[in-house]
Amino acid sequence: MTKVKCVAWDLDDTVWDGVALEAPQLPSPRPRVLELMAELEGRGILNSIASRSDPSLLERLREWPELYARVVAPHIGWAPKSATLTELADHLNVSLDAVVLVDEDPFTRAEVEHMTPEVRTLSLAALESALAEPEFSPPATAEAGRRVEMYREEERRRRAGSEFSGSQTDFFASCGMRLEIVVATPGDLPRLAELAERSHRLNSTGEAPSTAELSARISSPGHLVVRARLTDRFGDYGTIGLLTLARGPDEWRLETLAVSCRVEGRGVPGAVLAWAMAEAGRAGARTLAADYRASDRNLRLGLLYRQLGFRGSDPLRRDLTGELPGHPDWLEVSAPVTTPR
Amino acid sequence: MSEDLRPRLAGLLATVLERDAQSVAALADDQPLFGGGLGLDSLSGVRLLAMIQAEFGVDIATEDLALESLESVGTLSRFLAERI
Repeated sequence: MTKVKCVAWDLDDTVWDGVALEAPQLPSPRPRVLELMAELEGRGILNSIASRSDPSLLERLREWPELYARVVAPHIGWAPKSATLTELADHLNVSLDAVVLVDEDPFTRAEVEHMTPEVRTLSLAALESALAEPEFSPPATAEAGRRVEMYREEERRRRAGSEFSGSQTDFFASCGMRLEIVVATPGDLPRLAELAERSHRLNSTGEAPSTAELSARISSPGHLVVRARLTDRFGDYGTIGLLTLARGPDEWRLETLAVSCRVEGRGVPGAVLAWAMAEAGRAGARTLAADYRASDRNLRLGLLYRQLGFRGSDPLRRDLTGELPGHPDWLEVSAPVTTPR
Repeated sequence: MSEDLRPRLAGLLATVLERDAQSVAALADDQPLFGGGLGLDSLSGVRLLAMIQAEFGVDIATEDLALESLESVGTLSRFLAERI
């Protein structure tokens, strides 16, 4: 089952009665549609627009603030709706099977079902009953529930980044990024399991420990499980990093490193690894071992291990008796000192 | 074959590291690629491997899972010389 992440709404005869380009003024949105949008947003599902009409209509959407405020990344143009939906999914970085089109026109629904069969299509009436399905159920974690808000934060971040005239490093430094590393508690389990399962490019072993395995490590005195949270002046990414460590007297072993792809390029894996090295060193360990299995996705992480001085394989090892790496200047890191020894 | 390998490799390294090709070509064999050596990092490393694959047809990521060939300029050129 794929959870619905975005509902793309058709405009003419769906969001409102009539055809906008033929009406003397912009038709008003149906009250029930606005209610449904609010309901979806409350479940962490994005509302967007996929409409076949003149692109100039985009600007006019602002005439209905109660509608405009509900939608992200509206797409209006003359391309076939299947193409518009593909572009929209790309823009939102979600897969097509997480997108639902709501359109009252059976012909358009048939076109989309034929050209992009991954996209589910619904009439308004069908959406009403589909809301009871698990695909539309509210998310299990606070992070997923804030998806709409986080998407808006990301838009502001993107805009600020494209308007910034200095280097990327200078831009990062202007963002006020704070990385908070804390010891995980059982309350964090749902989000940590979700994070491990969804990370691919930034997952050290390509595997996700189950909730039971994570739970056992959180309560085991021989293990240390930490989570990392990133915030910046645009908002809160929530929990985006997971690290599980097995603590031995001479060597600590890093079993799982998983970081959300949403923060790729901001130096988080390096900062988390630097903290793990320093922490293991403080506890008296002379080496930090790291389980790493190369996949077709996590090459960059493998290169990062080398960059930070890990060598060998199965597991990689890093000598902790020499100089240890720091974290990027643009990150302000707060982390626990965990080891009473 | 391997005589013209070094300048070609130096050209790729110069491109990803945004340095001039001559200074890279003059580097000692045991010059480390990562960290304080040449300053390669994970991002420029990904680019380097993609360029090596395009230029020499060698996919380091699958042929050298432990990435040991990326130790120094010398280990990398020897690794490539054995495969082209």
